[in-house]
Amino acid sequence: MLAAIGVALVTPTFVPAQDVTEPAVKATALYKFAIFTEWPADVLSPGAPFTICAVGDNAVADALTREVTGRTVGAHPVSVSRNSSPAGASRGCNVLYVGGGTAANALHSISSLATTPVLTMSDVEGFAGGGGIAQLYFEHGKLRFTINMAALKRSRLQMSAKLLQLAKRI
Amino acid sequence: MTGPRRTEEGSIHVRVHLSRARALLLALLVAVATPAAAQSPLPDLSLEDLMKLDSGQVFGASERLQPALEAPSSVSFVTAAEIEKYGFRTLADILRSVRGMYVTDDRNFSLIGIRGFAKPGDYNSRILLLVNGHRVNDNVFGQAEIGAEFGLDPATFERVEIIRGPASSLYGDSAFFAVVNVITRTGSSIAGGSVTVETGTLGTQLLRGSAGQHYANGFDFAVSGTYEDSGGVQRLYFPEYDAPLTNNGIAEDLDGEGSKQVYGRLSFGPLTVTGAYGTRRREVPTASFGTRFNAHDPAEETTDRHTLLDGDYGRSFKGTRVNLRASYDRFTYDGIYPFAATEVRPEVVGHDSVLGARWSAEGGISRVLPGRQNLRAGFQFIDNIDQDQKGVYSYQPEPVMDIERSSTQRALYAQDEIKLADWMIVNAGLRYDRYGSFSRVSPRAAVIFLLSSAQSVKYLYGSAFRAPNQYELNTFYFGERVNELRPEAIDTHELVWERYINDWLRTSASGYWYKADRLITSVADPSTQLQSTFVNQGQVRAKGLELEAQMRLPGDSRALVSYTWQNAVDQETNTDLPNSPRHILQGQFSVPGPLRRSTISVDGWYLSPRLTENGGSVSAATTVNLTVLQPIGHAWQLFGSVNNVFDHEYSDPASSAVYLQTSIPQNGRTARIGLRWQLWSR
Repeated sequence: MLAAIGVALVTPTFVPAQDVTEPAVKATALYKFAIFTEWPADVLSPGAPFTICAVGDNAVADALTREVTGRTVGAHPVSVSRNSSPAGASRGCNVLYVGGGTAANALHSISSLATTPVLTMSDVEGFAGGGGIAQLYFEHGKLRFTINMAALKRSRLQMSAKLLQLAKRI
Repeated sequence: MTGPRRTEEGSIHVRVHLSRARALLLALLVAVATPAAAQSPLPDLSLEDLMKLDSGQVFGASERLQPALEAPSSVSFVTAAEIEKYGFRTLADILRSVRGMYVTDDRNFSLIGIRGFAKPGDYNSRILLLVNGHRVNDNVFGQAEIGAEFGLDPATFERVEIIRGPASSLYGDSAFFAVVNVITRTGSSIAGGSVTVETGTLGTQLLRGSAGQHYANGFDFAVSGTYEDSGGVQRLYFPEYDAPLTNNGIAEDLDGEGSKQVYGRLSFGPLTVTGAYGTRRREVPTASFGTRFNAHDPAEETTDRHTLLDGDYGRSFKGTRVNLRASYDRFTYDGIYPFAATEVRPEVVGHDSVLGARWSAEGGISRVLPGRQNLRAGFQFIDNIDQDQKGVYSYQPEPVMDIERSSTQRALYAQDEIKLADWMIVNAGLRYDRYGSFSRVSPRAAVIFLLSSAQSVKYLYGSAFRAPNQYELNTFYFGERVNELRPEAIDTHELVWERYINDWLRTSASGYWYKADRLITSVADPSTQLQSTFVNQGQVRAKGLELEAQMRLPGDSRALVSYTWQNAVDQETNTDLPNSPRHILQGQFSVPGPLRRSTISVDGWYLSPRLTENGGSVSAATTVNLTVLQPIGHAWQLFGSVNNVFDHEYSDPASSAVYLQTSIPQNGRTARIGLRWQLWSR
């Protein structure tokens, strides 16, 4: 018995399976949001990469690289971009995730994007209320999200009814 | 149905049953060691399924939600789905399934054991019990009631968080060995209305109605009511009383228990109001405190009642989360104690009653600060308006004891978490508690190394206290000496390694070392009413190791196994503590049943032999339970459960200050079936 738990403890990762840590769940949510959102036709030229940027949270960026590299959004191959500082990070992003800091910082780094078709996301409390599009949070360990409908409209992005139905809308 | 009995061949039975239990644990083990087939990667899940995954977050470790890997404690959870699958009927059942915890039952109250400490006769005052983050230990005995006397039906639990180690730096008094935080269900979790009926052996009957709804405008309500009654074991045999004058040691029809519980929760916007009332009446078959054995009319009986009213307001102002809370708790206890006639007085019935009521106000802020800091700070004010104890003997109208007390407590605390690097978190907390006659400062510190996003190593240090409670300070029972009692103290060091290898396997290993000083200990004192008093004299040093592996296998199967080694020693006598098993094994296994949508769940535990207070010991204890759930159509669900499937006989050590018995026999095999009718959903 003891030996078996011991074996379990030291067993290396030999099965590439689900990782349900918080960063992995957040990273997957970014990708899922991209799939259920439509960008204006002029934003993505055919064959262009679909860029998901993660700023300020290396664990989410790592999980993104691990979970969604090699996948596509529509016909576009996903590219993951990471920046440790938000300055200039938004260039070329289709999804911009700002994590792990204060609401003021997160909102500052998306302040120039209000009317551009960039899906802004964060896990910081007060993000959606302050003008970000989607805020991820956890309730009893399970992923939930809030969507700011006015911010969504300004961005000219279209979210599927299914996604909106699962969200808390403000 | 069989009740507990002692037989000559008891030990043989034990051996047979143990080997069966071992076979079961071995089966669990095979499940552990077998590499599961690869599951689909996260991005292939639907969004709905992604929202069902539990990413292991805990609230109570820092009074804010955080990943368990980053929490300054070793944490376990039990979810609503597990409570249903394993048929847990009380908080005590839930805690028995949690790594390193065990429960001792004296057929009246349930005592939590953790980290090798479960002194018979104690009142669970070294575990802090919270409901949605609010303290519910009463203010007379300081006890966390975990049986049916807790007053809340586990069917109303969303989640139970078990946070190991001292947490007085956040919560003050009683957060000595662990904090148990019960998070109750919301309307969006209940999402509909249902009626449940259950019946079982020992004359068990249960009726429950629940409803809850979450509206688009954010209004959310949940209500639930439960009635439960059980006749108990009809004939209980206690060899210590085996004499013609005491019915040959048989307590007849004295094991009944009945409870009623109502629960409600409303939330709208930033405000949540929770209300609950629960009462439990328990017949006591054991003739505790020297009462007359097998007494009827009146029988020895206890009744506990808990009322909770809690309003919590929380919202964010410019990135600062502010919460304010006002609560009212009321606890009453009535004990009927029939005593035999003595040379100096006739037969008498004692009626003890306790009233503990308090108002509390608390508030706090949480804020993310530059430099990747998370600050939490708060205050608490408790006005103990009633801490009353009363004793009436049937031969005279005036009470023999009538103590009316009240007191106040206030506290300030702060905790800061700094993410120094992606791989390192430092966490430090401090709380100042001010009581009428003393004050305490409790620190906690943690260094957490995040080896990856799925693995962490933690070093934790914590100090905690437990204040003498009003029962221990009862000068009528225990003499003037108890006025000198001071708070108990504990210092704990802990090393934890947690690893989420992937979804099919989570493991943890934790080693701890603690020193508990000035433990409030019962000693003989012929000059007092109860022939005993309390002094600060115990000192315990303990160390332990806990290993756990949790698996999720394809097809909604789950398995969990844990092993605990512990060694708690009384420094004065240099002997092991009573009721402290050296080894604990626990296992749970849940698989889909043969019929569509059914589940079959097995859980079990093993405790190695435990010392009793007189220096003897009770043999190893083991129990295996089986629960089957079978939904029928959309509206019905059938439920069946067998506890102690192998009818293993065992006893729990009892307090020598309370009982003539050195140990109290536990129930054999029992069973129950139930049916839930879902009246509507969503």
